[in-house]
Amino acid sequence: MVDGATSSDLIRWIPLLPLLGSVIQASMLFVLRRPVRRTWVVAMSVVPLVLSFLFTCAAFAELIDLPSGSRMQIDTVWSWVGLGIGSEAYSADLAFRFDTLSGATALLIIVVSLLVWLFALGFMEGDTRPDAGYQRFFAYMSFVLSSMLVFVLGENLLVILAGWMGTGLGTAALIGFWYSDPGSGRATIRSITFSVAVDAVLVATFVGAFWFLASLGPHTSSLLDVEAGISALGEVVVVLPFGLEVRAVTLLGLGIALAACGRSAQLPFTFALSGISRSPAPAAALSVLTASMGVYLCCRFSFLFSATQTASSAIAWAGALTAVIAAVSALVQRDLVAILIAAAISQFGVAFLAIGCGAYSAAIYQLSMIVAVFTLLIFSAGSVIHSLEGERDIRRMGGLNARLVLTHLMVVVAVLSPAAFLSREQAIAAAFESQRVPGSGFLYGLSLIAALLVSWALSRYLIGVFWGSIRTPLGFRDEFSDPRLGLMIPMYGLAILSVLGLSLNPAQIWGDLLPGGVEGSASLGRFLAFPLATGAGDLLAADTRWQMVAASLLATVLGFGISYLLYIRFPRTRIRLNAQFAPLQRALAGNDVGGVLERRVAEPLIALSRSLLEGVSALRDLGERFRSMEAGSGAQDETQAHRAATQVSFLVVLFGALLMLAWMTR
Amino acid sequence: MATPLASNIVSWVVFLPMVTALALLGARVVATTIFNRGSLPGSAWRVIALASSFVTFALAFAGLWQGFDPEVVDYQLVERLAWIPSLGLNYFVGIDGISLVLVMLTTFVVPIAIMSSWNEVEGPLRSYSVFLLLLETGIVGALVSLNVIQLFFFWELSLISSFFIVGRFGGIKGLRAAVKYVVFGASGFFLMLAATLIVYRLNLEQGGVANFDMADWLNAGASGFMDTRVAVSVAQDTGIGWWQTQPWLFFAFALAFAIKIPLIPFHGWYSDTLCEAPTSGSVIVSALVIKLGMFAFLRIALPLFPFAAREYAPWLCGLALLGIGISGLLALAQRDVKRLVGYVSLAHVSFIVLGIFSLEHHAVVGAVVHMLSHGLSISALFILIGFLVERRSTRELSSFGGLAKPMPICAALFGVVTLGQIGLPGTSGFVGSFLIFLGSLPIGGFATVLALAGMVLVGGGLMRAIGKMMLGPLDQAENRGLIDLNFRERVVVMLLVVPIFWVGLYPNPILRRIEPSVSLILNAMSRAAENPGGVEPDTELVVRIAPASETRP
Repeated sequence: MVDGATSSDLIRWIPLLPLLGSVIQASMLFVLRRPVRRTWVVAMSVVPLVLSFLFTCAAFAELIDLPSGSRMQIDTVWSWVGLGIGSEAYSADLAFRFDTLSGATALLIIVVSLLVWLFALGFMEGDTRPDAGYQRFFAYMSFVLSSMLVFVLGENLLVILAGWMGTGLGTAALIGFWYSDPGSGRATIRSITFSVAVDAVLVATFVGAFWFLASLGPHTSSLLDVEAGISALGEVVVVLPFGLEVRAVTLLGLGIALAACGRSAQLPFTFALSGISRSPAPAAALSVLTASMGVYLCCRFSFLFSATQTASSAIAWAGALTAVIAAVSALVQRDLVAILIAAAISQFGVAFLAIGCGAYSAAIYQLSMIVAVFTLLIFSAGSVIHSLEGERDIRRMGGLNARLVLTHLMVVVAVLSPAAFLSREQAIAAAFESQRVPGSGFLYGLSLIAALLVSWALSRYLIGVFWGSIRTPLGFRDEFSDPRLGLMIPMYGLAILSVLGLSLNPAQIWGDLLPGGVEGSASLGRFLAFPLATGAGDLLAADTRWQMVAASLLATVLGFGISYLLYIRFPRTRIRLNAQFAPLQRALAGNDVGGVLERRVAEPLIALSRSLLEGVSALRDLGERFRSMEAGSGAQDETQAHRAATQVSFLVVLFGALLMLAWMTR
Repeated sequence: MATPLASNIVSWVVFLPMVTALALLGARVVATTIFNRGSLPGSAWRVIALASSFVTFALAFAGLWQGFDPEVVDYQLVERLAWIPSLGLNYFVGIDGISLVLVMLTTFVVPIAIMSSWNEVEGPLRSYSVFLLLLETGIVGALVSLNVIQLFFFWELSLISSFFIVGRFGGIKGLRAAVKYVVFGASGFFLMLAATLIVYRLNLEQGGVANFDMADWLNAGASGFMDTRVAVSVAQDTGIGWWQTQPWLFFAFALAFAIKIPLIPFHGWYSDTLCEAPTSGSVIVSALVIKLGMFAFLRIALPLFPFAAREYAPWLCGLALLGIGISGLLALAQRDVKRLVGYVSLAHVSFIVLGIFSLEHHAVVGAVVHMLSHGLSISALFILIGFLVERRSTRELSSFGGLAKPMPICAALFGVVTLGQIGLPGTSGFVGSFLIFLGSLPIGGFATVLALAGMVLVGGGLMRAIGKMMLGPLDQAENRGLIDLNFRERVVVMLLVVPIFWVGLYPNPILRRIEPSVSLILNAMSRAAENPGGVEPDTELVVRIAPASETRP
């Protein structure tokens, strides 16, 4: 147990209940060998979720009662891995930690998941493919959800790792959900292999953290101890090969940053989510949530980033560059879901920029708004694809606002959602203010460009799908309209979230308008302040603040303006431009880094191993030929391998005999 | 443990399978010669063998697991009978934490292995049953032996009986593979025997009493085999030859064990044997028999040659890292599923050796846990592959694909077992590998990073194969009508899946039992390292058993 934290038995149920739901559903499939009735599936997947929502609310209520400096509760379930004696004793508890940061994130995850579940209940009913599986789908989804909750609430590095790995593997399983698709095997394997590699980075980082701290004192992997030990670790220097000297903290920070970039598809891993559009729309929506876990990881380890400028700068630059690159990719994608995922990655890039600049609460705010807005947008894409019987290409849509009236309205809300812009504002402001990151002026510029590009891409989505003339080829059902209420309710919920999210805005922007000023406001930023490291960019001067708002609003409006000009006002120009830049566009849209990696890394590796194998057998052949020259045509039926084995063993026996001889004759 | 000799539980566990086998043979002799009647059918023999192995597990659990006191730092449940005292040959058994865990694994896996190839094995079931039972006695006996020659007897028994199982009941090339197996195994064995005789002679010269017992249990003044002081290097005045020094003797033992484990490049016998053996044979060899090599490193080589072990540990770690990398690459290259799993297993085995030769407390404990975990998950993988091969009678990777449709449960189990193999937290694979990673950092971050990269390679290779087999379109006609796992098959795999999660979620009871034995070995080693001459007469290795002297009779 950790001193200074209250304990609670509630918290363990928050991740455990969805896990139980998942395990029960999977075991029922296993035992009964056929799916149970839908009502049961609904009960087994929604009831645990609702219960864990209630538990979260209860834990939250307990948390708020605590004084604001010590809002943290620890739930130790059992001692998971314990060994060693005395000063070397090491014990990793299966423990969860509910503080303002993890609590708020868990609440967000559960609320959004509830809406995703509601959507999926209706959406997956229409799944009539031969490899469909209503119950299987919810078993996977519940597993991913509980893994995320384990990750978010984990108090021990091992628990965090468990959640992290589970999230990655569960997402990969969802990519392979429709397993009969020709490419699904490949996409799943790619995703799993990548996720295992990212996990390995995190494992290495945590192992490093363990030993760096052990060199100073106790063997521990509790998050609280790690947090407390980081300051002592300050100037410890690690010597790498080639005489490179790096501070331990920097090394750890870079490890965390690398893993987070892998999960959130930031540079250099922008391909990480490329398989997602294969999975069913609700799973794609959930994957926005799983991708946001990279942002959370960085915020959880904000104490690390505030201690190392190198890692902070790396993550800021990775984020800013990703924000631009992914937005460009969103502009040239044709698959509906791929457009939205690329835009979401771009927005996550802005959150990473905020982390790099030290504005951690801004990053969390940005995270929650991205999740709300993009889940809603992916739902809308799901409805569109569903209505058009599987059509996914944005070029063959248009004019759907007449049929999908309410869906269109929801998309308008999401694209114009002020909360989404203003969540971005703070990150941009942090980049402007930051003194820590080299080239922060460039970062500021990049973030404005990204804001422009993303609003361009999103308005392209809105205009391309819903406005203008109908470009769908004949043959679609004439009669389709908005999905039924069951599918609309989650969209309404998310729309409300993305509008109400405005009120959560860390009082940064509105500080002057509030009665108590920035200091007195009860914003998300101040609520989260306790578990987060204090960084730069928490307080800005009033005029700077309004300059930021103006600049980024201008960029956003410009983005919309470009869309208006290109897609509505001067479509001919667009067509001409398209023709002119076709090769570039193709190159960008076909930017299949995963495929390139597979061709350039995985396949050569396999080829290398094949040639290794062939080399071994060639050597064996050579030896055999040599032998047959020596021995003439002897026992031909003996296999070469057999003979080689005999030779080796003969040598070994000879060696043994010599030893014995030596012993006897002494 | 007031009267450790009064209870014979260890002997019961060791000999029950052998006694069953002998009783079956005896009954047959009596039935055919005296009563002139046919004996029981082979299938009945196999049922009896299965029942016997189940009872053995029950005895091991009730007697050994429950009877083992984790607080006591010494061999427990010891039994000793004098056999030829003048030569130092005795019947001497007992368990410590490490052998306890491996005995539990063995007695657990053997009945599962028998059940797994229930329909696969064709041929005389009578001899199959007898050899399986002898094999179990051999493995368990080697794990609990505290007399070196007796250990070798059981070691050889396991080798010979697995030779018959691979050669007689395996595939077309089974006999050839089995010959290779036994030639490799026997050469390692003789090497080990020769080195043992040298140490014995040294011990005789030092103590004046012949003794093959590992410890001087009765305090009879006979210095235990493991208490032999072996010189670190050739000294001018002592007249000690180069072959009597730690480096050379360690080298001989290490080579023998490396063949058994097998460490690349001594793995020539491994993949052929596994491929040609029936499922039960592959499971027992890859999950249990090869563990004897790693176990013997811990039991014999480290305590006996502390200086040489420390000196050459970096080389063995290097060999292990090489093994992880090469077997990962070879696994990627395979087109034969069973061979692929064999190479995955090889990588994990090298990883365990890395753990052992980190010579760091967490890593060695992790290595023992990983031995257990590897035993469980590799058995499950071989069994699942066996089910597929039984249905399709081919091992070609390319002849599978899209099996998730006709065989959803098989696909799901493959997925779960693979997760255990790549070490998802909450499965047994995680505990062992995380501890090994933890422990391998002090020997150099380089090693940890390489090992991690290697394990990603291995995991990716395995996932790739499983994905190719299970996902994608069902494009081969032969795969359309495949029937999913039946009740027996599901039970067999689930029996392995449950402990994979159990060990993963609650490893503390196991860790608590392993730890004292590991610290005993490592402490003795570090004491010996402070006194590298090894020729000083007093305490260093004798102290080894001192803390728990109250357990002496």
